[in-house]
Amino acid sequence: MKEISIDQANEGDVLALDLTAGSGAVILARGNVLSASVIARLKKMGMRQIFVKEQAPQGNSEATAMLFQLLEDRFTDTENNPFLQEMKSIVADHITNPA
Amino acid sequence: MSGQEKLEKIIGKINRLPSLPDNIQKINQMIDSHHSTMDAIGRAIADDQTLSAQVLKLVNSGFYGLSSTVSSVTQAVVFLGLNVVRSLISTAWASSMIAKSFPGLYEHSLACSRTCYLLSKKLGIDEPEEVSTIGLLHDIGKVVLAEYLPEEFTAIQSLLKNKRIRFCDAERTVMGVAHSDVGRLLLQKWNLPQAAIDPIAEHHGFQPSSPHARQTAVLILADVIVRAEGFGWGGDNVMPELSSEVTGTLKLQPKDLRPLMDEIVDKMHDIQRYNGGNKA
Repeated sequence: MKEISIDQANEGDVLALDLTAGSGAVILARGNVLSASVIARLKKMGMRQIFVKEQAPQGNSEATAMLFQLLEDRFTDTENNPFLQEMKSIVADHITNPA
Repeated sequence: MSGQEKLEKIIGKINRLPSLPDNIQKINQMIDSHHSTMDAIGRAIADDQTLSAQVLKLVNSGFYGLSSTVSSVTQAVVFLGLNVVRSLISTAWASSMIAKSFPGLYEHSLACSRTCYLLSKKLGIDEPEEVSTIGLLHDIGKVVLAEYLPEEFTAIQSLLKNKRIRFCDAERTVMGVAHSDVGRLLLQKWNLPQAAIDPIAEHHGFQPSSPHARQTAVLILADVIVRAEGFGWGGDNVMPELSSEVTGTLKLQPKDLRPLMDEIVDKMHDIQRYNGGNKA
């Protein structure tokens, strides 16, 4: 896990901690993969620092991005199932840090 | 065509599905008669070179979590017991069919079988070897589809291309039944034990009161985990249902998943994640 400024955030980065608003409400849960539009929205909201998981080695970035895209696709509409949400975050870790 | 007509057409085609080969039926009879020794059964399998090669390949594929390599069929029989061997020889034959069906299905099935084994061990389910067999065979209905129902298979694939829909729901739209139902019919024809048929038949329609509900719940969870991780290819990229009835049957909490999934991924070093056709 590392803390980065929102300006350093890249598409495909995985949130390591929940992003919360001043009120404490969770805006974006850990395990979520940042897309370009999400990064833009966070900037707009005035977010400065975020905690993301260590990025995968650059050599594999294209294949890794494809794996994350497929992960997002297959978990569409699973937000209400706490088991599937936990699974998604575990798989994101496994893709980022292969055994 | 009405739903009933569709179903009758499918059943008509299933009645022409392959029976188990004679040699396998003969060995099953030896096992069932209780008059043959383990040694005699081991020799009967070993006499058939193709079958014994398939059996040894399967036993040594990480399928049963054996740590040492099993080099003879007799040794496999002693190791695993006759009950398991009975399913194993049908499974060994079926796995060669799975491997020929569509790309990724064999890897998906093998990953499910290993996951079933590991989950059974961790969650205290009886007969982990049998649950492992169920994992390998759970999508056998898709093999039937790809091999024997080409028109329906094509219609299902075009539906999947145009709509975000689960494979089993596309099947129900096209055929009125899913591969789990087709699998039941095939495995009944092969005389597999009910304890193997029920979980396969119910893996897309959980029945909490079924006598084999715990095994079925393990199969469903294994399928969900393997798809979540993306090992192999089951035909679609939509997560299957994981109901609270399934997780409740296994007395699982979301926080229990991480240690289980970390260990499962450790066992999949030889199985690739599906990456949409890109080279990883």
